[in-house]
Amino acid sequence: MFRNKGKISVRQVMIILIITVYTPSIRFIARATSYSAKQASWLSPIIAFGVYVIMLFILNRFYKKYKNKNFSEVILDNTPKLIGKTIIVIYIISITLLLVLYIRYFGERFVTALYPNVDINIFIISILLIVAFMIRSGIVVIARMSELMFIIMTIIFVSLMFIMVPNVQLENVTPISTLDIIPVFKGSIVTIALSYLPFYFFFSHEWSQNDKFLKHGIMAGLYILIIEVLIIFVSVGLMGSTVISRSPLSFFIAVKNINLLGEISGFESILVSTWILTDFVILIVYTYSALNMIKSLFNLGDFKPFINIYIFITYLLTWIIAKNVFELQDWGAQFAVYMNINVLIVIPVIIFMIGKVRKVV
Amino acid sequence: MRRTLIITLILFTLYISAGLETMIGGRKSITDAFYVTTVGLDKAKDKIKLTIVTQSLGPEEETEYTKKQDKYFVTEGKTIFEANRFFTTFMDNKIFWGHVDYILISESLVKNGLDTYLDFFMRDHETRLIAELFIVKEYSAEESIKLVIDSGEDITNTLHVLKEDVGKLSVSGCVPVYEAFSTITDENCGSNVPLLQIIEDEKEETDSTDAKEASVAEDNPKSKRLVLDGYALLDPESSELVGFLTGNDARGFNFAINKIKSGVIVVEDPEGEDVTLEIIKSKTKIIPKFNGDKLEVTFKTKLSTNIAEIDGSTNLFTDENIELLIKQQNEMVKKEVKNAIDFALKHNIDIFPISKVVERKFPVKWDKIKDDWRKIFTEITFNVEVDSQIDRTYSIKEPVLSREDG
Repeated sequence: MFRNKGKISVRQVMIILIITVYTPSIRFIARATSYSAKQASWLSPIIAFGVYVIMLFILNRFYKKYKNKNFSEVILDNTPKLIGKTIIVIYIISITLLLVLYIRYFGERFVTALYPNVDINIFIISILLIVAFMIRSGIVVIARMSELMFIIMTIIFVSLMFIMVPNVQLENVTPISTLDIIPVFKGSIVTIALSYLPFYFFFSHEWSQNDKFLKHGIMAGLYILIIEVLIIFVSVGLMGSTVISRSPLSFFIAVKNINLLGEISGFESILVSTWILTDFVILIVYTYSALNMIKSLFNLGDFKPFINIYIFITYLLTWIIAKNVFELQDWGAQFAVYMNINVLIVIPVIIFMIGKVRKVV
Repeated sequence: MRRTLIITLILFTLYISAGLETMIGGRKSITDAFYVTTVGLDKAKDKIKLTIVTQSLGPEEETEYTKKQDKYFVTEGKTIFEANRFFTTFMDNKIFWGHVDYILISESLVKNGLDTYLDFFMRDHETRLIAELFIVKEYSAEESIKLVIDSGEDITNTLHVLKEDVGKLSVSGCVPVYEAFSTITDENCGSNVPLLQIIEDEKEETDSTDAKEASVAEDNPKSKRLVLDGYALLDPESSELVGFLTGNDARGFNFAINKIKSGVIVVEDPEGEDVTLEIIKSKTKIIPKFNGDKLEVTFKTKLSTNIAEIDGSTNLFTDENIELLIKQQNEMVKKEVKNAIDFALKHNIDIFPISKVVERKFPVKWDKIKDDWRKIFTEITFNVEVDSQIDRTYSIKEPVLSREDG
């Protein structure tokens, strides 16, 4: 217990991973996958799970080899200094852009679904102020808070599924044939792009060491697989792929139309509450990870003096990134997804291969 | 100090996010809002006439019960959204669209396509996609709303009862907005929307000598009723109205698409007296089969009924008589399904939709033929098979008219 003081467990890291995948999954995976794979879209997360397991084995090698070191140190150890620093800069840019995307979506979600006449700044500034204060508490507090939110999120998600799954119309999620193989692969791109684990390796020096990385990782992967499959399955199963593929808030639409026993509705308010909680976790964890990258890049002792300025920059970028929600959606679909695949899959694999060639990992 | 600041900020955020602060526009007090429950859409020259039926909730004096007041308002606009905004120029309460249960659209409006008018309901952030759609035959949606409200009844409740009881005869159905949207956006299958009709009660000729009764009858004009009967069928490509299936033809359609909940079949006993059968269970399988490139589709219906009323005196509970009744009900169901098929072939629209069944059973083949589906549909050979049984009767077996011997 004393040995791990100030550190978080691998289990907590995996809980953070689940929460941070859950929030974008609710927002767009049903829409994005059903756009390509239509009725077979619910199979797309299976492909992503396969990719995730491969990544898990690679990251396990890093975790075991580089005890108490973070991913920045792994990169610098496996590549020449200039290239290594360049890669870290790429990661800083990527995670910042992703953070900006999530901040903007946090606000857009409210003004699209609930408060169309409200200034979006109210939501964005409120959440950023809380992130700026909470992040100073350190990763241990964030991880404990995430554990609590994970329980709330799970209870709400399971309750919604209990209501929604029995109403699924199987003709909306069938037939499945060989013709669906390519569309399912196409649809899986967005789910693969949510393999956020490498981002959390940038604070892996704050993880406690044990030999359960693979076990917890696979359990988290299975959990993510189940929630992603269910989100797509119930969304498409209830509303049909035509409606879901056109809706920017696909799962929200499906939940909004629950009518329990013909009388009780309004379940979307429960979903919104988990959105706020899980969005908060994703914003704070990304900020924490980004600040750790900056700390490693400039060999700083502490990142706390940069918190306010970094958050202010992200706020400004929130408005620069897109003029309106249509640009934001295009940006997300046409750039962010592929950026994620490169920084979360391609670069770690390349570094692993370099490490293998150099017999370092 | 820092902790206090954090807690204050969190509370502040929750406070404004919950819509309790005036800077959050769009928040509504429950007593200051009109909840739109039923919507009517009509054509008004080059505009859309929008009729809304609202319910307002307010606390009754010194009780916890809520008071309901139904009102209807009419406005016009170039689009539904514009017409909706015009309500704010004269209504004394805010409108909330989150409780819309029913959308009535007049026949004249749908003649040029339904798709345009669904966009508002699909896009708007307040409306729910489970609101049910109806098309009003001949009359306007406003007239049908007025008819019910002016008679002192609640239109939303009336529609609710009609919807709940639609299975008793199974001559119509329920189609929520999202389902209509899904079929409309599928260019291979025709859409169906339940049909509301205004029926005028025929004045019965009476030989009553009661002068008072006769004078009352003369004073009252013909009464009109709102009836849920049949479907309006829409073209797959343009979503324009192509025709109606009503009465038993609509039930034939329901047999084909497996939407039969119950129903009444009246057959004759060997003496020619009526025997009423109640439909208990019905299941239809659409079985497509390719003979080369030629498609053959069989509707296989399995049906169970109970004897609900016997008007004659014959003992029906012999193998021979039961077989006779079964034969008649098979023929009647077959005829109804065939009428629905004939309608589909006449208008060349796949209303069942067979395209979905073919896609599910032969996905690879479907991929090759889907672009020519409308042509292929007209060339399909249809077969209808009905296999029914009469399971039981209720409290008494022998008919009331049969007399005891001696």
